[in-house]
Amino acid sequence: MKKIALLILLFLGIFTFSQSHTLVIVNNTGLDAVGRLVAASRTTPGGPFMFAFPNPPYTSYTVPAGQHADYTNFDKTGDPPVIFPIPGWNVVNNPNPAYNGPQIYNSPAVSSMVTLNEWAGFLFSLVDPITGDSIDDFEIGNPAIAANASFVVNTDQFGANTGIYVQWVYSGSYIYLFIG
Amino acid sequence: MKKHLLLSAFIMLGLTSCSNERTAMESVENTQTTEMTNFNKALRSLNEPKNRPTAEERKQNSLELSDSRKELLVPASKDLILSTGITEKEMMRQTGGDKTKIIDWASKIYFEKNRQINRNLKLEN
Repeated sequence: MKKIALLILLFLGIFTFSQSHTLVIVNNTGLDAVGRLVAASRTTPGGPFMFAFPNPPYTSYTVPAGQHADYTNFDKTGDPPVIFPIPGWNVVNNPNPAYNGPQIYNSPAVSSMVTLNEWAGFLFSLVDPITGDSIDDFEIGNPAIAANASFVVNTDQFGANTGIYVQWVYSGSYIYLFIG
Repeated sequence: MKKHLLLSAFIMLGLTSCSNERTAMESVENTQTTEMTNFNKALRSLNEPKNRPTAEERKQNSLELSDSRKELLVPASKDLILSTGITEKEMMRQTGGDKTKIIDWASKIYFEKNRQINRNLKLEN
């Protein structure tokens, strides 16, 4: 009984305090997904937004071929157990000017974005992991949120060169980005 | 003397079996369970041509995963939740049988377990 009560409390806690959705990116292709992961204002055009630092050892943000990544709050994206940790964010247009520019993921600057921003989209190329050749391009995400940071994205898209189907879709507290 | 030999043989047997058990447990901790593998498969199957949104659904431009596609995730989600020791009754009580809540719960279990595996692997290396 105690265990159940604890579990329920835990669940309540999770649902009460998580401000943004958990983003899950599933790369179901043999190609690396390389590009700009963007978070933007839920409500305000021209409002604060930010994009992810590269996840080491990559030089741009990358979800490798066949792998998945999942991120809860922005200020937890670099925590050690995260599978492809994002060490920081480039913040733009924060109401506090000191919070703009490159920021470490668990800094007050990024924490301030948890209530201001929502996952907006992933503007990426599918890249051959061996040759490094870019094979196809996608701009995928939530069009309304991305527009607040002047990005144009689609909810789903077929790759012009590969025909690979990519979709950004919501279910409960999760956003699933399926690549291929 | 014979007794001692026999006893030590048994102790050795006991010790080896214990140490085997430990390695078996460790490798289980660092690999996905069948329920996890099945959930991952179900998740990845959503983007297969036969499971993609229909032309009609695409026209509506909805951002929400459609009911029929959620349905595809439910069996593997339920199995994954039950595999953690939660009873069917408790699962139904907490979710009211709501597909979205069941999928949310299973996703949480799946991705958290994956992080644990990732952490364990990092510790080993």
